[in-house]
Amino acid sequence: MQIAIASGKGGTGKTTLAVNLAYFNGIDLFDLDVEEPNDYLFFKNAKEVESEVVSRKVPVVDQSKCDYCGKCRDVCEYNAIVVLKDETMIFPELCHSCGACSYFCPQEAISEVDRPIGKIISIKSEINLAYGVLEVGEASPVPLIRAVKRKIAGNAIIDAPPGTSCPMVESIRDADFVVLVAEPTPFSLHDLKLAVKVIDRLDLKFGAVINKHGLPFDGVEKFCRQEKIPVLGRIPFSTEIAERYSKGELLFEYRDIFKEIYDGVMELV
Amino acid sequence: MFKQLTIVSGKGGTGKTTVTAMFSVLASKKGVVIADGDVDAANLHILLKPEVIEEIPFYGSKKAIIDPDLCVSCGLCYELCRFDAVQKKENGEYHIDELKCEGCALCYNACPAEAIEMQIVESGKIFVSNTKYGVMVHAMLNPGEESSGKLVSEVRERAKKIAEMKNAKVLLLDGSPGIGCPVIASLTGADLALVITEPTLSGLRDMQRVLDLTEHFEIGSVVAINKCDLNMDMTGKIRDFCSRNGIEVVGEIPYDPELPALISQLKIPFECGASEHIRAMWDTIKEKLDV
Repeated sequence: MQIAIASGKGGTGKTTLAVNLAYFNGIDLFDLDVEEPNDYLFFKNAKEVESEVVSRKVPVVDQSKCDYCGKCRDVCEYNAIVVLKDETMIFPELCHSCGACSYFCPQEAISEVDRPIGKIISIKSEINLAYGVLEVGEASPVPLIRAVKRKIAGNAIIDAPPGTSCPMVESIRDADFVVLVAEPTPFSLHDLKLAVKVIDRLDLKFGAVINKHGLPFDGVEKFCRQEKIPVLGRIPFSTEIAERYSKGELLFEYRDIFKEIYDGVMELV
Repeated sequence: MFKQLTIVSGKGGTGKTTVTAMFSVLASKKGVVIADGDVDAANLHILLKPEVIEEIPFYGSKKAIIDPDLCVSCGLCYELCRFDAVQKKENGEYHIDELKCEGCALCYNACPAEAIEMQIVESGKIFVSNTKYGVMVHAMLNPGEESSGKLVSEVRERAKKIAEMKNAKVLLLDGSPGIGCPVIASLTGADLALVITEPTLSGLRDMQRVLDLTEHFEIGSVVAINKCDLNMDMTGKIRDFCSRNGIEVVGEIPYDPELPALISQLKIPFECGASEHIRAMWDTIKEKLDV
């Protein structure tokens, strides 16, 4: 049973919901926002149990075998290979690791080496948390997200990255249920509508949680009513909660909200 | 010649879009072109209310498609695809999951039956619009699509051309959260990056990562702390980090409940106390950009 927490807009409260939902219901947590992982900040006394480097394959050319025929360049859709008169150059940051160049090289001059793209850190406190950390300068988080996902076994809460493009899709696509976190603002409403479109495209079950409930904008609640999106819980707008979050603290006084949200999800699955 | 200011944050929801909208108004006298580099959760248009004058389809990617009449079900594509995009149906036929296909064309080039075609798909739209403050270039990636970095690059390049043509002094580029391809594309060519953070542990950590990124690409950066009075202790930590690393803090904006109230009415929030801090910050940045 995997529950993914997503949003569209950033900063609506995915991390707040993910860490508290996992902690107060005793479920393992997986932070797939590998560009900016923050969940671990809330488990200060946790012990690191494992750290592993994640790599992807990128080509290298054996210049002694290469006859500069240009086949590798022709089959590369990402313009990651330039063939000169007497040298074949690879631009690994443009490479998608598809393997076409090495597969088609008539001289078998291309092999593949590991390029580190980040790491997965597993920590243990009352619950287990695994999170990915993308290497700075690496363009695509998707291969690392896939690697963190392979660690999931059994029940899991997944903290997805913001947005509605490939990293978010990869993070939620195998979930049994998606919780969309929205806040009562016009920005969040706009991005919530986009996130719903992604979820419809993936044909997943979902519901919403409204964070900062009490801000003066009713568009999000209206939209949920109109579209018959179940609202699983509301986290109040409060400076106390904001301060707690700022220090990286869990919301013990509000634990009931997170238990109810979880029960609500279980009823719908 | 114009100067490019890219507004980033690392963490989402720290106030990039609000600040960009206010800067757009403040820079309008100088001549500004505005670009929204958040293409999968774009929000700037909500405040700037652009009038679209040109709509350009964006063909960001190709997708493989199998012709079932030609396919001999040999399974080679299934074996070769590294993105698990080729799926085997119960009846033994193969098909492509378009959301997983990265358009590498390995299957297309390898298929012995020539049963695979590469189709160019429209994965979004680019808009060139008029606003009260200047021309705005923005885009919408179709929900769930890839190539957001490529789309951001197109938005940036179009905005640059318009800035040159209109003899604008400033190009404002509102970035997206994170440190991946769309953010890298937003930062390309920037004369200065403004990193907007908030005094939270996440805000601090995410700011550090995005500053590592700007350093990696050798782009000068300044920092602004939004909602600075939420946690003064953390604001102090952000200041300390910045001063240790020679990064100037160009603004500290206190939390002002009037600001979200004005935004909920779709107003650019000038009529509130916090806006004075944003005006002052623009004056500092204007000097830094030398415009």
